Amino acid sequence: MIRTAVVTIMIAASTAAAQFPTAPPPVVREPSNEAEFRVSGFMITGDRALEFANNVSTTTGSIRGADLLLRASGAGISLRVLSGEFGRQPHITSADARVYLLPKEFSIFIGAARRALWSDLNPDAPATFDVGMGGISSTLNIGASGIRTNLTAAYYFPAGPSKERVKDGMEGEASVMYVFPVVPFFVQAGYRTEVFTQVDGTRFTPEIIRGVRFGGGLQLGGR
Amino acid sequence: MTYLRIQWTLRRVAITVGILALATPAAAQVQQAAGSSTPIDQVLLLAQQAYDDLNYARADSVARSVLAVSIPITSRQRTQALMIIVASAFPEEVEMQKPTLARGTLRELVRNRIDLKFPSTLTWPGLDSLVEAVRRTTFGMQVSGDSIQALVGPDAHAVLRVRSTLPGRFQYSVVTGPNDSVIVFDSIAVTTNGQLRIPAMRGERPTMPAGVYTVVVSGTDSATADMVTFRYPVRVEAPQLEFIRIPASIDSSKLLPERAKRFGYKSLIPALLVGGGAYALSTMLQPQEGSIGNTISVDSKGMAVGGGMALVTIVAGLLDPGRRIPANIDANRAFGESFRVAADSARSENARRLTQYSMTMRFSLEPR
Repeated sequence: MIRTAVVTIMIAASTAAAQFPTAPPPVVREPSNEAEFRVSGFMITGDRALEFANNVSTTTGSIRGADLLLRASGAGISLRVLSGEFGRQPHITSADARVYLLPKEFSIFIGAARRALWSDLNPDAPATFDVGMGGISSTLNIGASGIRTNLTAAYYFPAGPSKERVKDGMEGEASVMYVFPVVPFFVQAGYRTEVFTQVDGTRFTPEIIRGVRFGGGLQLGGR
Repeated sequence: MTYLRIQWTLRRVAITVGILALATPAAAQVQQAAGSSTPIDQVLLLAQQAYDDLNYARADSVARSVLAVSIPITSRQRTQALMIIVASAFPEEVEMQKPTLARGTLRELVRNRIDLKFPSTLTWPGLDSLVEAVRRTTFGMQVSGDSIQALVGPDAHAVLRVRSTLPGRFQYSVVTGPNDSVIVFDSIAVTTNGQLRIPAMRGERPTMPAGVYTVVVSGTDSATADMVTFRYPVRVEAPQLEFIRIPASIDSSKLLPERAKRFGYKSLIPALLVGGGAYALSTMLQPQEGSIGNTISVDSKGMAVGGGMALVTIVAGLLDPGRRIPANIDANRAFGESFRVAADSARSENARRLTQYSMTMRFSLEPR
């Protein structure tokens, strides 16, 4: 009787010691916004329409540029430089810096840009325009497919020493990126439109540049 | 003749009455005071005395009365009675010998006791020769073994040794219940000396749970098919053998998803946004000043690019395998590892219980 009880107790104790795990612990879902670093070069091929003295000239050309993005889950910065030539129209060179707030799926940004127009006749004396900018940006990963969509809209407003010569401007870009699954590179294609209006007294000089954008570069994180 | 028959009848009655009288409690007390012998032993003593007095008929009669009583007698008492009958049927006096009766009774004796040896008070060289002659021609079997056998581990066996006077086949079965349900059985090939092994376990389970069983041992003469069967009770003392239940595999329904759900048709929204955005940029975004808005036309490249981007986005959403969830993958891996460790531990514990499992078989090896 006692032996039976002892054996029963021993078996119960050893059974309790060999409990099987029933399920893995629940895991809090990881935030999808991951820090990312991106360096890319791009080219925009399209046309530029410039109105000067009630005369609109349209010509094709291209813009080449590079941009850099450094972004954490809730904030980020970007730098961009570009330079374009469109026939006999003044060449354009610009650089801007932006600060992003909120996650990349929907973020707002503010920034500043300097825009220079110059020609081959006066390469050392360009007409420069400083603008402030504000806008929204949305980057969405399409699951784990590697495809991500990007929408950006920005408004340029006069700022700085040249604000008397700037009325306003706008920029919009829609693009799709494909980030390769193993190597940290991406390719990009999209469409970009930029509108800018100079002021000289009472005379406005509007222009519009639009075209297809191609690019590619290094992408770390942000998947 | 009639006188003799009456005399025999009276003698049998007297013996039976004497047995009954000796079997009463008072008589038993007297016998216990005199020694440890039982009333049956006293009657056998009377038969022995009759044999010693050369009164072979009476010795035979008294010995047979012992075999005829209704109360249980031991194997030793039965053997002794049969030996007196044999000795009475085959005395030294040739005219008193009944060889046929002696041989027949000897066969009965040798079948159960192959080492049968008559005590010197009953035998003489002629009878010894007769015993040997019968032993050589009669299939007899004897079973022996330790009455208490402790069996430890899955490969332990209880062993019963069998010997026979002639080559034979032997088998045993352990039976229980009113229908003699066979729990386990085995056999050995033709021999005169072998071992029957009763396993403690089969298939990592005790062969017999605790309880009382009957071991039936049979021997069959390989030449004549003459069969001898013994039944022995055996008490098995065996604790319950409990194993830890080990699941065959992880319940996959308990695992955390290692990939997020497919993006699927949700990709329609970003497709519309990016496609529509490109379309809007190519058609609607224009300077408000001047006449440039009226001069330039819609850029068809924008619509094409927008449509292409929308299509790519939709296809990407439909082909999306789902985002990997590293935390869940790690949790599942840890879960699998802990399951494996627990299973290994349980297997070790089960193996320990198996190898240390102990049961005891208590045999009562007096033939029944």
